[in-house]
Amino acid sequence: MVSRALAACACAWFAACSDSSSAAKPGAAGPAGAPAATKVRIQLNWVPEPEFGGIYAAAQDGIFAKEGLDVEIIKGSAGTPAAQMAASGQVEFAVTSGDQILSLREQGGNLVGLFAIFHTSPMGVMVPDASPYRSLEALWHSDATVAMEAGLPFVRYLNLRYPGGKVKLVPTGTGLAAFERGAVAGQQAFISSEPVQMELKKVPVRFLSLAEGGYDPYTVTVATSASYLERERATCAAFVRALREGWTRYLADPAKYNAEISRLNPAMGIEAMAIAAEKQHDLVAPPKGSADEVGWMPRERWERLAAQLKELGMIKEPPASIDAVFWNAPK
Amino acid sequence: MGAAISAVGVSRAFEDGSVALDGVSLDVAPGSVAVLVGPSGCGKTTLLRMIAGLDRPTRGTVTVDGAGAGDADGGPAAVAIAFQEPRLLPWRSTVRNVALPLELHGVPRRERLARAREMLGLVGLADAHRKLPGQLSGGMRMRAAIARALVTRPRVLLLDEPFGALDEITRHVLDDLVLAIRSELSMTVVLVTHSIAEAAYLGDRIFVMAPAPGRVVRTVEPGFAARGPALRASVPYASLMADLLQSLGTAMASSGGGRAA
Amino acid sequence: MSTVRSFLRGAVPPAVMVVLLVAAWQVCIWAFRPSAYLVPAPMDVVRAAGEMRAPLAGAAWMTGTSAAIGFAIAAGAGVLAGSVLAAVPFLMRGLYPIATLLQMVPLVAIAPLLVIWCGYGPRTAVASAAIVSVFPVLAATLDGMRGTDRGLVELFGTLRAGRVQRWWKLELPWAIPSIVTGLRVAAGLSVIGAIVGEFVGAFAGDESPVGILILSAMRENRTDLVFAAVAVAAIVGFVLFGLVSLGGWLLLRRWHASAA
Repeated sequence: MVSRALAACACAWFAACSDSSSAAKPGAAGPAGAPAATKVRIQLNWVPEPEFGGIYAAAQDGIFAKEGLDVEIIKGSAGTPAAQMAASGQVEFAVTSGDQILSLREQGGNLVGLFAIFHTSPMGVMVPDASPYRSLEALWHSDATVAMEAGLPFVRYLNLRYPGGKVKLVPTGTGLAAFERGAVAGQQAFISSEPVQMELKKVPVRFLSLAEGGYDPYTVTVATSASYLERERATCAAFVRALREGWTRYLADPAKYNAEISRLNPAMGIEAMAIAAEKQHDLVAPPKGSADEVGWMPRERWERLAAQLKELGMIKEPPASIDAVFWNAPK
Repeated sequence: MGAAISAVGVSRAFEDGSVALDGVSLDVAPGSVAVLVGPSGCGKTTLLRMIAGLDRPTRGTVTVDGAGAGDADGGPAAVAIAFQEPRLLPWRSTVRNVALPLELHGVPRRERLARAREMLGLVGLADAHRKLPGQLSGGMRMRAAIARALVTRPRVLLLDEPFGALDEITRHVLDDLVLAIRSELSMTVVLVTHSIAEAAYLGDRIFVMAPAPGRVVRTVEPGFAARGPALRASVPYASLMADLLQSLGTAMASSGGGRAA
Repeated sequence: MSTVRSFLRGAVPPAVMVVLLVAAWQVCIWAFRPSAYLVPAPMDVVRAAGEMRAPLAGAAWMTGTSAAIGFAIAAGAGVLAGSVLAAVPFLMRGLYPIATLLQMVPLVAIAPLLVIWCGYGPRTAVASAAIVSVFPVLAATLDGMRGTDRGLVELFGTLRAGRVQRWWKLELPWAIPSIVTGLRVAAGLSVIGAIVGEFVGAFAGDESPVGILILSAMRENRTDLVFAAVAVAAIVGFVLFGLVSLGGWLLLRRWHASAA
């Protein structure tokens, strides 16, 4: 989007001039002798929605404070360059995606994934329920018009997997107007977002999942810059612990926290958020029988993602050491 | 054949109260050269413009061959005017400039260009027809403007101080050109000038005008048999000029009443 | 001065400046070593351009065509509208302020509406290019025509010319130097307009226009590619500008000082 391009340029200019070491410093001892909370910022890459539910829960229930953190949650929108902002030190933490973490690395932006909110990707394509296309393969072999963000590895994957397709891709606009009026036959979507809005408008839709189609990158991943992690490991560990607790609480009772999130994003009502939370639940909560915490990132997931990105031509080589790209804070 | 021009009791007042002309009457015989001479503000240009149909009197009438000047019936071909500035279109060649009046009336290309070239020959610009106005001297441009005025074969040619911006030698040459045109094409010529010398040389009938209010103070018909350099050096010519000058001087001195335009 | 010499005189100084600026840029990169995703080095941009020369060339052609068509539409509409406004003072007083106001509306705000009206594909880019180009042409035409020499207008009056004749044979040729200036401005803007239209409504695929290339390069964190695409867009704009300037020179060289 234009706003993304402009924002990124402004960002690049500002960041190129600014010092990489961020403003957050461990607090000096306060008057009562207890250490003041560490001020950190987390930049979201979208507007406040249930996909960030655990973050808001941690704030609302004072979990961050208990971990000694004073967290500012900065909302984003279409085109927010959250990854670049964290890499250049403008913010301490950012929500971004796994493929961004890997591709930015080749351009000199060293990010480390800390917490994968979705263990299974919520991405896919939304089509009207009456659509003749019942799978991504069918859609890709058609000549329908589909709204997809330009440059998504998702698209390259599908082009590779279903070659010779004649599908026509157009940029996603703001909102769902094009989809609603039938100008596009399909639209890129998160299972917990766009289909929910359509449902509430009484427009039946079908969701074609990307993960089921064979490409399951980490989407919506909290990351920080490698240099910040090295300097402030304890803070990062505290942050991750708070996220785990916050998400656990959110998964247990989304309604308790949705009111506040809806207040921050009036465009999405409480009812929509409730449905969204329900749809995303299984994609966030650790699968039954798994010993992993919420947000935990197995090594082979990152290895697989790096290999896939190389295959898609998004990166030249997987990182020499995959462990440099992610870090699971101790339990 | 040239047209007869007549002004009867012509007055022209403007909204600001100034009076350009006050009760002017004159007659121009067909095929003759009439000169309106006088200082600035005497109304000579205003009167000329009325004959051209560019202005209307507040009182009185101006007629060309009996018809109202400026009425559509006077016809585009009947009265042609050349201004002090040549007013040529800078992007057109000289011949296409001269052909413009015919072009505007739908004369076919070949014919109008031929007629234009003929007029250019008449004014002595035969070699310049492809040149752009920017490539011509001041005198040449003025000739081209006159050629343009002539291309529709008007019965009346009006010249509004046409040679004022040119040097004296060129002026003399162009004066003779006007006379040649008048005889070749037998048209009536009305020329406005502030040069007494020019008025004395050209005019079959000379109207001396004074300002405040604009009026004719004297009418002279010199009746010179022939024109040419000899005339300019002659005594009758010199005394005519002195005479005109004196009339003007008297009129200026006794001018009062009515604000000059 | 011969044509070749005056062309060189005009072209060499900016070319030298460009080389100096690029060199300075490269030096800054060596000195400060910013990350590639923030500011790429000129060499990286050149390398990216080389790697992607086929898609970039295709994109340049697509965007250039959209811009050129939009420009042509704007040129025609602008001259016509400017002529009408010049001829009817009432319309001019009523519409010109509104046109100026519309000019202020940022293109990025109305671009999504263009997709609704024109659909996806090059049509939106063409419409967007036209919209952004029309006002400079309109204003230049209006200005040029209103400045028509009063003496010549009076001449046409004495020759009993019709209104259309006056427009075609006097006012329009008179306004051409001014119109050419407006066209040159519009030529550069048309490329920007086309790209903005592509941002919201172009087809992405094997052959994508410049706007899509920019978007996807941004998403993939390939700032070097973004710069390469932007440079290509600038070249397209420059070519259009050059073509219009050339046209203006050919039209005016015989008679107008501005073409000297």
